[in-house]
Amino acid sequence: MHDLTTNFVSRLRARDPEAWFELWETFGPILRAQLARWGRGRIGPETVADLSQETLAALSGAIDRHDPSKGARFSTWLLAIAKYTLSDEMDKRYAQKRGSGVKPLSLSAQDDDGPRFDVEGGERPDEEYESLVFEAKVDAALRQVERSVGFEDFEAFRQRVLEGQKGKAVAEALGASEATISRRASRAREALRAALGDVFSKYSFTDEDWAELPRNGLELNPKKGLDASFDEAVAEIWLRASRRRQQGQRS
Amino acid sequence: MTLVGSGILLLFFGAIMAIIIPAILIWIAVRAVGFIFSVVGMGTKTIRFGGGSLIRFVKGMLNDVVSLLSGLISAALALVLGLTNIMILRGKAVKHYFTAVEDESVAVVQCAYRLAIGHPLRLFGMGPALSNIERRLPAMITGPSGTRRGTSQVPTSGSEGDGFEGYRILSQLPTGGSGALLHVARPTSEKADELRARGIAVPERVVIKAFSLVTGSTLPQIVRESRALEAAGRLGLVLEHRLDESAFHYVMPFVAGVTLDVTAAKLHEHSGNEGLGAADLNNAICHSRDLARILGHFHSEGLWHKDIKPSNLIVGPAGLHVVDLGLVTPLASAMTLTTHGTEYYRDPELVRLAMKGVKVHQVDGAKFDIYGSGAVLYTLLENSFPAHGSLSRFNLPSPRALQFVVRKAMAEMDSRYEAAGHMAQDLEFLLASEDLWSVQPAQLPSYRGTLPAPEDVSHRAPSNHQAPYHTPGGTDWVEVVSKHTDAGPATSAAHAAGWSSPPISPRRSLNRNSRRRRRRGVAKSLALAGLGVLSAVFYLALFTQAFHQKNLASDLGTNPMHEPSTARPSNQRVMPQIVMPQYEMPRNGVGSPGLRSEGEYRTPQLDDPDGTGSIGDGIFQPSLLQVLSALPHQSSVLVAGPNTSYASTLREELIQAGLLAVALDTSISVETRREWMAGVQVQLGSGLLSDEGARVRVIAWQQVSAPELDALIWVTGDDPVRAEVIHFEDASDH
Repeated sequence: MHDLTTNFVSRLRARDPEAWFELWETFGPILRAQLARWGRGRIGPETVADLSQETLAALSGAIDRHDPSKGARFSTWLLAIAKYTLSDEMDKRYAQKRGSGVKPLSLSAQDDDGPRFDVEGGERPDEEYESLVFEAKVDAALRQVERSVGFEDFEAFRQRVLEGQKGKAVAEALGASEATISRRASRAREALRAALGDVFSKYSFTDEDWAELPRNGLELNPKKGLDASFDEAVAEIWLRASRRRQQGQRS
Repeated sequence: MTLVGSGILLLFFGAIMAIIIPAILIWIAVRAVGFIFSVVGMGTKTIRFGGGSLIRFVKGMLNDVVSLLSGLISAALALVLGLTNIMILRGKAVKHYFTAVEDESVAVVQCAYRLAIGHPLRLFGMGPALSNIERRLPAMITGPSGTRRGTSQVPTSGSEGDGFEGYRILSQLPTGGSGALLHVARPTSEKADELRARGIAVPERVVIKAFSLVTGSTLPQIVRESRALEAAGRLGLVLEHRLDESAFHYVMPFVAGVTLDVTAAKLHEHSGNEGLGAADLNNAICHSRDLARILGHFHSEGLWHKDIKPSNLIVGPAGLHVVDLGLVTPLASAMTLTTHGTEYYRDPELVRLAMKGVKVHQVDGAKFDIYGSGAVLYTLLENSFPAHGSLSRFNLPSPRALQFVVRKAMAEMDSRYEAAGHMAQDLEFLLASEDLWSVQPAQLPSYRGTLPAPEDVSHRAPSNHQAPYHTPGGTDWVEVVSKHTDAGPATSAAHAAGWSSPPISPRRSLNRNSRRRRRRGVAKSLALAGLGVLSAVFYLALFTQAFHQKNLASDLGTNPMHEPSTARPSNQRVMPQIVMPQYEMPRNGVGSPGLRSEGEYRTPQLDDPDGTGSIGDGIFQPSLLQVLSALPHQSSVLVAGPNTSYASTLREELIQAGLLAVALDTSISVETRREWMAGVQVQLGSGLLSDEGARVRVIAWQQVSAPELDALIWVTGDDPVRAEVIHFEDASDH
């Protein structure tokens, strides 16, 4: 496992608020989307929002017991806890309705029996969920770049690469020469490569997690000839993520 | 005939009589009952009300009898279950069932009270007295000693001076997220005089927001609501307030209107996927500009609203109003930052800082309000919230400069507008422009660096800023800040702000150049014109030469290689290149296959049946056409190259044209395409297919690594764009 992963997990275990914020910012929307999918018809959006916070709180409790060396993917582990939290909530509701005194399962049960969704719900991490997690990681890297490079550099990158506008149009919009726009976009691209490495180091427990990058066209090796391919891949992922979020809004 | 007519008439009259006669009978019955009651001395008036009372009495009695019986049964069952659980030692279940027994018992007692006392007394007109006792008695028993009578209860409609001295309660509003009770009220004449004497403009109606520990509010809520009251009073948001040991309320003016999310939906009602029309766009900018100005006023008074979102913004007859003081915080507060706010309209940075335990005065709270106002503008333009935060994509057409304003407002803290007034000035600039769509972000005052320092902006408040209003506004309540102007929403705020300079149009700002500068410009233009004439002669010569080459190539059936583009000056106009295997696609959409440029859309010109193409407005591209036509249907053609945006556009357009399943045949996975792209890029680097060595490498690579690939269109260059085509089958034959 990468050093950064170990450090990040250590920070989570040490209850570092910044680390928890990062986790919340990156995966909060995914957990909501996933919980909304599972809980459709059973729980409303407010509960989903509460649950996603609870899920992170549950994560906080479970992180001490988590052993990244067991080989589970980060996304799988997160999903297991999310699903468990939903089951727990449903149990609580039924218990309240019935007044039967059914004791909601505790998280420690998960460690003993394994994730419940595997056993009972049959809900395994599907392709859509994996895509969501991957896109969230790329999103996190883009946000990191937005924070680290200047506004003008990121704006040039956004318009030129993400939105696919022509160099001349971007230059006119931002009142700079095309060469300047190209330089700015290039700086942001390099920052993005570094940020992707950083983000995937934090949220990857296995080699399989890491392999997602080249598989999606995001080669971190900064060969000049591959810039175009890299740009196109980033733009596609961003577009896909935007559309997915838009669809999420509609539903 | 006559018989049939008579029959129909009879039927008609029969039907009418069938309706009228029962109605008359019912009326007679009611009158008769009225008469009986009047005979016994109750009078006609009593009958009207008494009839209703009687129905309520009967209904109430029946309900309560049923409730009493069901309560008794439930209590008995719960008791049995509770006792059973005692025996099997299930502690939690026992507690649960005995709580249920208790609840059911209370319900049974209440039913019994109503059956024996409540309903009969109400039937005889003692309802009001009974209501007071029923309301006060439980509070007297359960409430803490010393609770003030006036503030701990829930006043009823029509009450005067009951809960809130000096105000007559008119109605209740739905409670918001804070859990406070909201009453619409009218100030009494004495209260109005008192407020006027204090120099406060007295609104016709007010909203009273009331918190009470008795009605479920919590102390932190009360503290939070009360901490910005003094400053809010200075802003005219709050008329007065009262706080005691268990309750707290404040009074705000009321305004009618609709929330901005409703307004946004209405603006988009007719536009669909076309984006806002000119008038609606203008309105949206006006609302956003008004918001920025009001926020500037808040900030200049040392306040931070902290919950800017469309549902907290009201569009009333007098313009935009900012509402809900629930989270208003003094910018210099020494309290710890909290994460309160609304997701998607709250800067995630706020959460990060709050989680770190940062104090309010250590951050620039005004900038978080600016983030919210950027998100609000996004909502106006897109009719949806920015689900992707600052990375949110614009899906509907809107002016680039306006999109830039949104991004600038939602940018990283250091890059964000320094003050809300700066955002207002950018929007003012856009409103004054003759063609909103032609304004470039670089022309905005904030980009040109022509804005005043933040301190100069923030301390100039809107001159006619006045008191808050209130509106039910759908499902939630709101308190609002109002600006009184005579004009409508779209124009009113143009005169509302005291700090902004007069509107400056881009054209006018450009015309501000001095005469000297103008003269210099004229000289420059003349020189450029001369240069242009020379260039035109040069290009004409080149064009003629190119045609000679084309004719020669056609005659000989050969494919003379084209000179690399780097050999030409970068600003040179692109000539049609009709040689195999490479092409140049001119910019500006002239004859290019469906490329978009400068907002222009051109349909692909590839379906030319005879393959001769056309010259004129379009550029002749027979080679590309020939290659594509020569390929079997469903061929795999990779469209790639360093110019990714043109490549993807070309790819989409070719697919849309339906000529061939070019490039992205659905059977080709994304991964395979990426592998191919990477492979080609490795072979070509930044080179061109016209480079013989590079071509050989690509062909060799294709034979080994991508044999199923039939052709490659390699898009490179930016100005001019070049599209080179290689058909692998033909190329390998050679």
